[in-house]
Amino acid sequence: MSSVGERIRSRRLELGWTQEHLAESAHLSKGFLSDLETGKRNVSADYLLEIAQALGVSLDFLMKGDSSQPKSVEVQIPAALSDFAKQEGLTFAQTLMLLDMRGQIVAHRSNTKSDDLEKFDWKRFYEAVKGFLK
Amino acid sequence: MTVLSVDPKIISMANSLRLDGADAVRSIMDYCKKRIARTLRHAVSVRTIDDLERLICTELNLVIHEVRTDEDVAELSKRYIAEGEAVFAALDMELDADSYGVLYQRRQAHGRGPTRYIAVVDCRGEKAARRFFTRWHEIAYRLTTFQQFELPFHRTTISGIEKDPIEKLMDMIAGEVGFFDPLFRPVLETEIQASGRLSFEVVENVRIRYCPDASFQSTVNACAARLDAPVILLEAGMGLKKREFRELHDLQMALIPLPKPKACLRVLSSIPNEAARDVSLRIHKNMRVPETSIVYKVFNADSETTAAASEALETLATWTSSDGGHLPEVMVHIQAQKRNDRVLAIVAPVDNRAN
Repeated sequence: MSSVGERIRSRRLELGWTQEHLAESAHLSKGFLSDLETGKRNVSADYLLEIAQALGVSLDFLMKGDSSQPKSVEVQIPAALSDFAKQEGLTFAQTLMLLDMRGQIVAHRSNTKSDDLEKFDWKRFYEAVKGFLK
Repeated sequence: MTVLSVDPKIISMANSLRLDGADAVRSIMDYCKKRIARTLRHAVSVRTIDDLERLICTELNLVIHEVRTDEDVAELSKRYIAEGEAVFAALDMELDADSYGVLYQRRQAHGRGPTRYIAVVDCRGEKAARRFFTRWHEIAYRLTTFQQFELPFHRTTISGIEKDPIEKLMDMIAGEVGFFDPLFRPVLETEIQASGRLSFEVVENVRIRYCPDASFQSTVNACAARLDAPVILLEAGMGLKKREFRELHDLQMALIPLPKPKACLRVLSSIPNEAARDVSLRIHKNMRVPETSIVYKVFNADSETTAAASEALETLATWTSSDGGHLPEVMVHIQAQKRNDRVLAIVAPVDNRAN
């Protein structure tokens, strides 16, 4: 189970922030933050609240973490992709690659596209990228 | 609290960002504004919205490309494929006729590298008019996306008639941060002081001074939202009663031969700003526009007359609903202008004391 310091560090890195940046945002010294992240020092509730606000997370998360977060990621292949892969004779690795590539599309600004992977046009997508599937 | 705040998708987004879900929209908006404020603390000089955009994009490891021709799409696609991002081979497919932009997360870039995220904004043809807002829309997505949530998190858009709640929220964020208050408000206030009230001319002046690349529509929305005085932005066009619309699209009713309902001039959208909501100034969506209103006259005038905006003082009591009710007796100033097949109107109470 990760410690408060580890969770602070992990969230800081998610945001791409340096220790200086977080220290300034949370009104702490860099040295104190560094000690906190490495578990060399404890932190008072007041400071923790400042850090939580700066990092945009709840106090609860910093103190307890989110135990409901899965440790490993289970990959779910949409039925539409699975059917298409079977029909096209794709290997499991190629199917995963296709899913992973689709995963690179974070968002659309569109009037018609759906985020439903079951409705995604896998055939068209595959036709466009098939030259790059190993 | 808005209806959007209780939408499960929005609450889920607030939770995924580990924010308070009690008023999810407010929490997410505040979160985005705080992120920008923190970035600004380290900025040397941010005088224009372009300066701000550059700064935010750097902070978010985001690069925005605009494509203006099919050749641009092919060129960009080729470039990123060469850098190992095969997903760009389908770029052309992603930017179909109804898509304005797409945001990618690169695999072949360092986790926090400066080009980790690539947004491609389609500026081909008429889409160019929305380029400014689309850029900020993509930034809004990026502001609310974090590494650990990205894999299962493909946000998209409109399904059928009703717009996706996430898209609505992204539009709200784009409207808030793209028209960044410390930069936008001084321009708006100067123009309002000079003119006395919000008008199409004021909006156009603000647009030119603040960001000539912004569309008139996004600017008028931002002006109205920031105004301390009550105002409603109204859009009118030909439409049916809700019941008529339902019946027309009801398969069972299609079996019964009935005369086709006749469309008439109705309120297609009506957006009161906060000050208008505070004084309960509202015009309901789908209301019939009275023939005595300037909105009706502008809609039916010939094209030469409608090139400029027309204005009038009138009472809202003449606006009636199909159940026989009418709006309160409030004198309003209406400025209306025809845009394609619709009329856009700015409605403001004369004494600012609507009730």
